[in-house]
Amino acid sequence: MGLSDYIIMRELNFPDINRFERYCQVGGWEAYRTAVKEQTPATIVQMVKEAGLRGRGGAGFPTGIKWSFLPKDVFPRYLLCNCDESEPGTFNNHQIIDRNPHQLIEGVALSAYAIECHTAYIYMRGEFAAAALTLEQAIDEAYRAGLLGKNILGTGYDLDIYVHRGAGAYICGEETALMESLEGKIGQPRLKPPFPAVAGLYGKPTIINNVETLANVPRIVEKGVAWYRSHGTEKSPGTKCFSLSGHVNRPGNYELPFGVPLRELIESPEYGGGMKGSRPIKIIIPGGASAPWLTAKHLDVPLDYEGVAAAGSMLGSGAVIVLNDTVKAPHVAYKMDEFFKHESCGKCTPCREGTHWLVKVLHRLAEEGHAEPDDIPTLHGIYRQMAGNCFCLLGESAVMPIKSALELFPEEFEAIIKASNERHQRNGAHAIPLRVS
Amino acid sequence: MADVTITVNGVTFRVPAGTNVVDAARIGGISIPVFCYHPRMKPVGMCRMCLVQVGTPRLDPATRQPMLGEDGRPVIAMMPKLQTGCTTPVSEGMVINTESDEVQFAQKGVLEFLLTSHPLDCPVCDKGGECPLQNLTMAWGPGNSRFDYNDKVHFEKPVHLGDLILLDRERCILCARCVRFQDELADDPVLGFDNRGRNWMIISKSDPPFDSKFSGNTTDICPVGALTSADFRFKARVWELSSKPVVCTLCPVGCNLSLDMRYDQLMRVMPRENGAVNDIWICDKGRFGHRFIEHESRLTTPLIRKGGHLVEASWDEALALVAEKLAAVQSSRGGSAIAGLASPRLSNEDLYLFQKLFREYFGSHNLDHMPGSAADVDYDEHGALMGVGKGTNLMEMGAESLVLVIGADPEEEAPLYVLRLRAMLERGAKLVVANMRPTKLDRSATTRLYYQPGSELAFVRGLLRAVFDRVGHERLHLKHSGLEQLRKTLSDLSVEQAAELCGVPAETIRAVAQALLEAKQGLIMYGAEARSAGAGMSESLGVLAALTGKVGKPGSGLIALLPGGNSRGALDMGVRPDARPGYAVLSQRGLGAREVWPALREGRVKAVWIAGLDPAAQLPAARAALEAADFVVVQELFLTATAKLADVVLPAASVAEREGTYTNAERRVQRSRQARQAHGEARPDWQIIQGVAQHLSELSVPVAVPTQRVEESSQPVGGKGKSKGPGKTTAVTVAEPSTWDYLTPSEIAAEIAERVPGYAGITYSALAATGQGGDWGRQTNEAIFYDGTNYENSEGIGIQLPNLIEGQKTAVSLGLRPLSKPAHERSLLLVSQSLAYDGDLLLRGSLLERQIPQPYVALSQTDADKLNIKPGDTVRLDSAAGELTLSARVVDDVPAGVALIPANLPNFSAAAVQTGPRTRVNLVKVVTG
Amino acid sequence: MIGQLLKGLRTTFGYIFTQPVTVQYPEVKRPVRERFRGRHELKRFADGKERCIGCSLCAAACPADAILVVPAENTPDHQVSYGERYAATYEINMLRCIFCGYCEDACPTNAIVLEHQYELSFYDRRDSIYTKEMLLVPEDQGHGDAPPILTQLERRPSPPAQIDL
Repeated sequence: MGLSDYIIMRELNFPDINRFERYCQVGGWEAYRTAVKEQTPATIVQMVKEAGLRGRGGAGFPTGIKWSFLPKDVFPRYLLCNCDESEPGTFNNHQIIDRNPHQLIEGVALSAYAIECHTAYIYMRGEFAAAALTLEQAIDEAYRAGLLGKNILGTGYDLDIYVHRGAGAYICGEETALMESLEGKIGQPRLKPPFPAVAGLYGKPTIINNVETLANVPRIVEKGVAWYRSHGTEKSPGTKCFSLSGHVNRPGNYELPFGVPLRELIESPEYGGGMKGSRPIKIIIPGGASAPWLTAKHLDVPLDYEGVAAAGSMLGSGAVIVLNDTVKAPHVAYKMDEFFKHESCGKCTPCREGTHWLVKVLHRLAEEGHAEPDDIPTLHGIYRQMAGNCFCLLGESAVMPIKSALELFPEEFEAIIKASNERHQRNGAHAIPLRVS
Repeated sequence: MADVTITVNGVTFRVPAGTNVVDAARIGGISIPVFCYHPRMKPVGMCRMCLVQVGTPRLDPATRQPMLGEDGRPVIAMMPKLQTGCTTPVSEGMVINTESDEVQFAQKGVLEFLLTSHPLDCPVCDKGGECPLQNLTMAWGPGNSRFDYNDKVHFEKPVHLGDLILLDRERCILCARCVRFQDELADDPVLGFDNRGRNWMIISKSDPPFDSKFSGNTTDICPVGALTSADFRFKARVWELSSKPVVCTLCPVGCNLSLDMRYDQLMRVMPRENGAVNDIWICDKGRFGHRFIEHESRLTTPLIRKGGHLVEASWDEALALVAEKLAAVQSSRGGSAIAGLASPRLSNEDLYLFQKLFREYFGSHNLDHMPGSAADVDYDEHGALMGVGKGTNLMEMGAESLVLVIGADPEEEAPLYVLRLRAMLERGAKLVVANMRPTKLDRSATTRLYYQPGSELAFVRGLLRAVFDRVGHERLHLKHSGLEQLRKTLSDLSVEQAAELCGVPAETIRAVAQALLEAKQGLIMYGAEARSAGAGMSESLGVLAALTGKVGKPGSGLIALLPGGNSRGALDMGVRPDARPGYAVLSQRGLGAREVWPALREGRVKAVWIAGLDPAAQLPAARAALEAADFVVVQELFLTATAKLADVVLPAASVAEREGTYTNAERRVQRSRQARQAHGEARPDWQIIQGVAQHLSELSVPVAVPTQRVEESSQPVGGKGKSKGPGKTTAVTVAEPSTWDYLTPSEIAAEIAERVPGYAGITYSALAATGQGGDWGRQTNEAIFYDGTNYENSEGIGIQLPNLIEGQKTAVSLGLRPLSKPAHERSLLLVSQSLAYDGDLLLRGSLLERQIPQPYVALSQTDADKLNIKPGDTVRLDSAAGELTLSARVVDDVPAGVALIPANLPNFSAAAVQTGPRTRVNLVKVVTG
Repeated sequence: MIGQLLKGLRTTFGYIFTQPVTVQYPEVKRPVRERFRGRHELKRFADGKERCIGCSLCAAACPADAILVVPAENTPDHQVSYGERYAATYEINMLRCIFCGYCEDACPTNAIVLEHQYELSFYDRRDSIYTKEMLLVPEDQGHGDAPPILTQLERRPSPPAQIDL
C-alpha cells in the first residue's frame, strides 16, 4: 500500500526542492502566508488538535494538547525544534532537513505563529554540520522573502528562527537537557516539574517539538483536518517516516501511514524488500535502541503507537532495526548498552553507575567469553535497580536492551556461562580474573 | 504557611505545607537517606537515594474532594514510580512509604551503585568516622558487593582543586553539593563539572584555582571523603578528636568554632552551629587561620631587657618590674605619663580590666585600641547607639526586610556576612549595595550603586534629604533632639545637589530612600571605606536609621564592620581616651594612640603598655616613639617588632588557651572556652593585668582618682558639643577600688554586667544557658545526619546586647556635622582596602599566608592611560606627608580617581604617605615594569 | 619406725629420679604456643614497604588506650607504605597493654601482629613506650607480597583540576 501523497517526505524527489523558489512552486509556504494573513493562532492550534497530530519524537503525545499547556499571557515564550537526532537507528530528521529544509522551516514558523512566540530555535545535533548549513541557507532565503523577521507580510507578526548546533551528546535530545545546552550550560536534564511549557528555556514557557512533528504542520494547515485524518488510524492519524535498518535488502527512510503491519515494512519490495539472503528474522527493535525488542512472531503488529505498545514495545522515533539470526543477543545488548554508557550524562547514580557496570559485565560476557556463574542474576539485579529510578529516560532506555535480551534469549547467556565454566575446568585455572577477597 | 497532614509509614502527623518529603519525614522522626540533598540548598534529586513511595488522595473530579473508600478513608492513588523525597513537596493527605520492599530495593540498589565506583579505602580516608556514605551503607546498604573489585575505576589522586582543597576523584559520588554550595550560597561559582558519565568530574574554573573565601565548607558538606582540606589531610582520625567550643576573633562576625583537638594539639577548626551568627558555615580565614596557636615562634616565658637584650625571666620578676616602673612614673610624672594600647582581639574581660587598671590605679585616660596610625578612623559609636535591636536574627529575616551595605566589602572585612546576606536574599530580602568601587557582593545585590570616590557622605545626605522630604516629622516619635538643626543641615543640600556631588542619579537616591522607608526591617551595614570618611558618616547613617524608623527594634539598626574580632567590645569597655565603659563621655579626654607617639617623643608620656598591638611594624613614628620611651611593656603572642623594642615582654595566652567573652558586630556577646593548655608559661591577658595590679597594691601605690570623675555625664557621644540640659546622674559609678582578686574571668564578667551599661545580665551562666527556643534558637544536631559532621553547639549561642537607645532610653541627637567640601589638590584618592588575608599576626603559620598579596597600588584603566602606566610598572606616590614607591596594577574594578592599596600587609606600610583616613596623592611612574 | 619413715618419704623418693618440671628461666626459655600473644611487631611486605597504613584502627580498638598513631601522607619521593597514608609515629605503651589482641583483629592490613616475645620489663616507666622503630621488623624480614590491588593500580591520569579559560 503506497502513499499517493506524502506528508512528511513530500516532493522529496522534486529536483532542488531545498531551494526557496522550487519549494514555492509545489505550493510551499502557502499555508504559512494564508495563516499569518487570515487565520488566528487559536485556529491553527485547534486544527492541529483536531488533526490528532502526535509527537514523533518518541512519546507520541498529542501536539495540539501540548501547545495548549502554555500559560496564558506569559511572554516571551519560545518554540524549540528538537533536531538532536542521535538515537541509534534513527535518521529521518536528517533527511528531511537535508532534502527539504523549507518544509521544516515553514512548520516551525507556522507553529511559532500558532503559539504566539517570536523566537524559535532549531537545536541541531552537532554532527549535522552540512544539514545545519542547508537549513541556515534556507532560513536566509525565507528572511529575504519577508517570511521571517520583523513585520512579516505586513501583518505585524515578528519571528526569528535560529539554528543552534550542539556539541555532540545524545542526552541533549532530552528536552530539558536540550534547553540547558541551548542556554550554554552542561547538557544535563533538569528537574521536572516545572515542565517546559511552564518554565523552560531561560525560565520562560517553552514548547519543544520534534522535526518530523513540525514538518506535518504545513500540510495539516494547507489541506485540512479531514484530509490529514484520512491517513493512518483513528488514534494515530497521519503518516510516519520509518527509518528501516539492519539485515534487510533495502534499508532507508519510508513514509507509511500509521497502522501498516511491520511485515509490510520489512518484506514489501517497495520498502524493506525482505531479509538479506532470506535469513530468518531474530530481533526487531521497532523504536530505536531504547525500545524493547520484538521477534519474528510480532511481524503482524500494526505500526502505530497503540499496536506496538500492545506488543510490549514502543514505536518511539520509528527507527526499525531488523536483525537476523547471525547476531548474538548478548552482543547486541552489549553494543546498545555501550552506547548508553557512553552517552550517560552522569547526573544520577543509577544511570551513571548502572550503565558502567552493565557494560563491564556484558563486555566480559559477550566479547571475552568469560562468565561467572551468577552473571545472570547480577544482570537482572543491575537493570532492575536502574529501572524506574533514574533522573531521566536515558537510564530507563539503557535497561531495555539487556532486559529484552535476558527475557527473550536467556539460553544464549546460559550457553556462554556454561562454555566459560567448561573452559575453566579444562584449563584447571581461573579463566576469569580472581576476585580479591 | 498552613500545616498539612501526612502519613509516613502509617504514622500521621502535621508538617508545614511546602516542606519536602525528606524534611517532613524527619519532623516525624523518620529518616530518609540522602546524599545530594542538603537542607541549606535547593534540592536537585540527583543521587536517587531518597526514593520513596508517595501517594495522594484521589480526588473526585466533580467536587475536588477526596474520594472515600468503603472503609470511609480516602482512596490513595500511589504514584506508579518511586519519587525522590527531596524534590517532592508534601500535600494534604499525602501518604509516604519509606519501608516497603520496593523502596528498600531501590535504596539498596543506589547504594550498591555508589559503592561500585567507590574505592572503599575507609581506613585511610579522612572522612572515615563521620562519613554519610559509611553511615548510610551501614543502615540501608547491601551487606556485600557483587561488583568485581578489579573493575574499579582508578584515577590519579589527589587533584589539587586549589591551594586549600584537594579532590579525590575515586571517592567522589558526584552529588554536586560542593558545586551548588559555591553557586547558590557563596556566589563564587568557581567549581564546575567537566566531561560526562563515569568520567564526570569536579573541576575548578577560576584562576587562581578555587578562588573562594568559603572553600573549606565544601569539605564539611561533602558526603564522602572526596574533598579534603590541605590543613587536616591525614592528620588524625575524627574519633580521636575532642571539640572545644571557641569563638573566632579574626573578624567582627564572631563565628562559633569547634577547635578539634587531639590531646593538646589542634587538628582542625570546624564550624559550630549558631543560627544567629554563622549557621553551619565558617570562612577559610577562620578555618585555616588558627595555626598561630601552635606556632613555634610563640612566646613562652616573660622577657626582661637586661643590658640591651631581652632575657628570660620569671613571671614574678617581670610583673614586679612592670609594677615598680609604672608606679615610679606615676609618682614622678603623674598617671597621664602612662599610656595603654590594647588590641581589639582581646576579650571583654581583658579590655575591661586594662582600662580599669589605667583609670583606677594610674588615673590615666591615655587608652586606645588602635595602633595610632594616621589612617585610624574615628571611634564608631553609632554602631552601638543605633546598633541592631535586641532579637535581631539574620536567619529569620527575609521578605520585607532591606539591607543597605555602604562603603563596605563584607567579603574581605567580615566574610561570613556574604553567606548570611545571600541567605536573606533567598528568603526575599532586598539588598542595596552602595560603594565607590565594585565588590563581590554586588553580584547578589538587588540594587547596586557606585558613588564618586570620596562622596559617600554626600550620598548619605542625599538619602537623608530624600527621606526627610517624604516623612517630615511624622515618624520622629522617638525622643530625639536636634530636629531643628537637622532640618537646617538638610535644607542646605537638595537631593539633586547631592546627586550631582556623588554621581548617583537623584531618582535612584529617592528610590533607595523609598525602599528603606517601606521595608519593615532595615539593616545598614557599613565598613572600613565608609568609616574612613569620618565620624560624620556613621552619624549620618544613624540618623538615616532613626528617620526611617529602623532603630530600636529587632531586625533593624546599624551593623558596623570594625577591624579585629572585638573592636565593639573595646569600645563598649571604654578602651579609648574620651569615654568610659558604656560610651560615657569624659569631659577631659586623655591621649589617643595617635597623640601618644608624639607625646612619647616629647617626653610628656614616659611609659607605655601595649597589649596585642604591633604599631612598630607599621608606623615609623611609633617605632621612634617606642625607642624614645622610658619604659615599654608589651604583652603579646609573638616577639613582634614592637615587642623587640620593649623593656618587658609578657607572653599572653591565645584565644584557644583561655576563657573570655567577645562582642561581635551585631553586639552579640559570646563566650569562648579554653581548648588547650597554655603555651609555655603564657598567661591570659586578664591574669597579666591583674598580676600587675596586685604587685602595684603590694607597692601600696595610692589609687589615683581621676579628676574628671565628677563631671561625667551619661550622655551618649552622639550629641557631642550640643547642649542638652543637665545630664542624668552618671550610669557609671566608679566603684570603690577593687581588691583585684578575680579567680576566673566569670567574676570579671559579673563585674562588667554590673557596671557597664548594656551588659546587665551577661554573666557566664546566662551565656552558657542551653535549651530550645527563645535566645537559644534552632540548634538541632540534624546536620550530622546530612553531613556526617557534628556541628552541635552545646555552649549557648550568646546574648545580644540591647542597643544603647533601647537600654538607656536616652535621646540621641540628630544634629549633623556640616558637609565639608573635599579638597582636590592632588589627583588621586588613596584608599586602603581591607583584605581578609592580610598581615594579621594571627595568620602566622597558616596555609593562607601564601595568599597574602605583595604590596601594590591598583589604578583604573583611565588613570593608568592618563599617567602612561602599565601593569607592573613601579610608581611613586607622593602626598603631603611623604612618598612611597610601589608596583602598579591596572584593575577594572577600580574607579577613576582612586589609588587602591591593600591595608595592613606584612612588611609594608603606607604610613609614609598617609595624612589621615583619606589621603590625596599624586602618582608618577618611576620604572617601567 | 624406719618403715614408717620410709612410708612417709615414699613420695619424695619417688621423685628423686624423675626429671624436674621446673624450667630454668632465664637460662632456659619456655616455648610458647603458636597463638601466644606476646610483644607486638609491625610487619612489612616482602619488598620492604611497611604494611601499616596509619589508619589508627588499632588505637580505636584498644581497650586500654595503649596505642598512639600519628599518620602522615606518603609522597612519591618518600613512599613508606602502599597508598596515600602511613604511620609517622607508632607507639605502644606496654604498661597499659593488656595483650588482648584486638589491635591485631582491627588491623586491615595485618600489619600489627602479637608475636612470641614476652620478656618485657623495664627499669623506667618511660621505657615502656615502644616506638615504631622498636616495633617494626627489619627490612629484610618482610614477608608476603602486597596484593595486586595495591601494586597493580592502573591509575588513569586525572585531567587537570582546572580548565584553561
